[in-house]
Amino acid sequence: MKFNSLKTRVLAWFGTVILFLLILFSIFFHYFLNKSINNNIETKLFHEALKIKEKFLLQQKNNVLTDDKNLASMSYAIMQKGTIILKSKNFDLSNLNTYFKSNNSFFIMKNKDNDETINALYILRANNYKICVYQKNIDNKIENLEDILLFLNPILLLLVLMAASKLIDKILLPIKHVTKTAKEIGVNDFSHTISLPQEDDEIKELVDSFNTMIIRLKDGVESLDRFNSDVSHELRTPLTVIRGEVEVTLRKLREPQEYEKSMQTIYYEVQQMQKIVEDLLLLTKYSKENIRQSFEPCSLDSILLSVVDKFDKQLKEKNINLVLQNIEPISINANPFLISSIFSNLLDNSIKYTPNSKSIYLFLYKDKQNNINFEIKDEGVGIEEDKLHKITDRFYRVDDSRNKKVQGFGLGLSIVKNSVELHNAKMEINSNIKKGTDIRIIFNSSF
Amino acid sequence: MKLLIIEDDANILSFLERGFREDGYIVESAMDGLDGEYLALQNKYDVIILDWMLPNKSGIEILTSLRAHKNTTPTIMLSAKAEVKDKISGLSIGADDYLSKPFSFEELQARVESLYRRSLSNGLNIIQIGSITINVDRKSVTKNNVDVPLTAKEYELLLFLIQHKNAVVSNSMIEEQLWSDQEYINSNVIQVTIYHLRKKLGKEFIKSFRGLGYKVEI
Repeated sequence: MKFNSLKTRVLAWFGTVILFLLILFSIFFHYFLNKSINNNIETKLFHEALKIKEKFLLQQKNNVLTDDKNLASMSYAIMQKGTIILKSKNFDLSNLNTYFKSNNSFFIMKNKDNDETINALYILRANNYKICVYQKNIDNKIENLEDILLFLNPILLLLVLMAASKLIDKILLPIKHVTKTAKEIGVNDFSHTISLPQEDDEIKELVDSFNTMIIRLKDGVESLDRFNSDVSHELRTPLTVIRGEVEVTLRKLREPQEYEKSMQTIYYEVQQMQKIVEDLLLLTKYSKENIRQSFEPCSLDSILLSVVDKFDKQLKEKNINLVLQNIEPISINANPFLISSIFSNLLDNSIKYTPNSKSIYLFLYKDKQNNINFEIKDEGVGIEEDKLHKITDRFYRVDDSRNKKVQGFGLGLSIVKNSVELHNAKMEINSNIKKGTDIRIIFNSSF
Repeated sequence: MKLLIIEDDANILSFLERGFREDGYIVESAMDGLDGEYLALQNKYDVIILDWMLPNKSGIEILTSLRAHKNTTPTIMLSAKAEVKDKISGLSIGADDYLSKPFSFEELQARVESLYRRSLSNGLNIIQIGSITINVDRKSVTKNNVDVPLTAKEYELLLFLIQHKNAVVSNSMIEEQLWSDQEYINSNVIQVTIYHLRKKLGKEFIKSFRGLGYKVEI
């Protein structure tokens, strides 16, 4: 058992409290029992004194108190004006005057010779005489009780602590299971969950949350693993080209045109790598916690139009007809960079997957509920239904063989989804194979 | 040596082709899984360099199909997947070697050479036929311990004949293997090369069968 363990601490606190209570109980018990015993003795002696007084009054004339069998165990003395006028044979108390000076009438004296007994004295004060009743060698019950308490308290404490220890073990058993399982969990091993206890108690709640945490961690680590492997995979291709191109080119001296061609290839691949890194940064830079600080009034229509301008060349190359169907002037508080990346990634995707000479339609308007709608509708190849839920995953591409005819890493829609969520907006995707895709983003009016 | 490279990234393919061609390899290539599979099954290559992720048919699928067709051409797989389990899955379905991207071109070349050598001479560096010794590592040939200088084509032709030892190799097979990168070859070029080889190594070493081809007997 560890010195600093929960169990030790609980036992220490518990033990201290129990010890305190036991001592308190003992003191009270001792005090009241002592008082009760003394009262009994006092009452008894008082009654004896009364009896002696009656007899004395009866026989006063004789100045002799006949020995009474009833009074045999008592020793007594009757004092008048400072002198003993009458006393029993066995009355051997000296220094009586010290007791008379006191106002008390009952005295308990420790026996000097014998610890187990006490002596008691009662003084009945009458008008012109005093009756002292003195009893020697009364069994000292309190003394016995003190011994018993001194002996019993530690044993009681020990018993209680032993019982408590067993109980704590029983309570802590599920926690030990939790600890054991937690120790078994490694970054790559989330196969263990803890078996739920039968009782529906706090421990079950703890185990339940622990299991949920394991599952969440597992998901997190898996998605991180997937992400890492995706990132490294995407960076490996340009790196291969750069390394190979340089290695092959450097094997011998070449014509300037060959160097130029190599440099162009390397430059292209470096740009690809830069784009991947920038996209990844964009995905991780903002979170729900810090996004608000980056908000500023944005004119959605002018951001959209400036994005459209950038795609002018691509649109002309594919002879795509871009229709600005309904663009209302709308201003909201948002992150202009992310808004621009939403528009440009969606437009980029639409252009990539729309065949030559087809049309793309853009809408930006407020609906009846005053929500802001952005919609992009193309006449492209469409997305199969079973792939729709995956298209916003990082690095996911519908064409899993990475068809080089369509450039990109599969980060665009992840960025869109992320940006939409950061703006508390909703994204709806509808797609029909060979007919086209319709993506709508709805910004809440109260946003 | 005749190579087939199946790789969908144009820039990777470009430096691979350039590098190998500059070193005298005959290189054919495909950027699509189906095209690559067709080439691999139709033609005879010494080594195939195969990318893992390809459009239309993956490297793994191509390799499985090749091995199912009893095609045992040494194949080296390229992949951006660097995990051990990926390497194992590639090797277990019949790849002869595995290289993760990014790789060094020199290493790839050394591995290609090593695969070729293994298929040629059961992994030995030295091929001994009578008085003639070929050191595959150094690409040198000796006869009775005297160096015999050969041109690159003569050496390639010698290896090709040894590869098909005890069988008649036709003119068209030789042309396909050694000169397929040229659109037009002088019909005499094979005859001339054979003539030079026989002159250097001895007439009895390469037997000629008029109208059929040539044979090295061991």
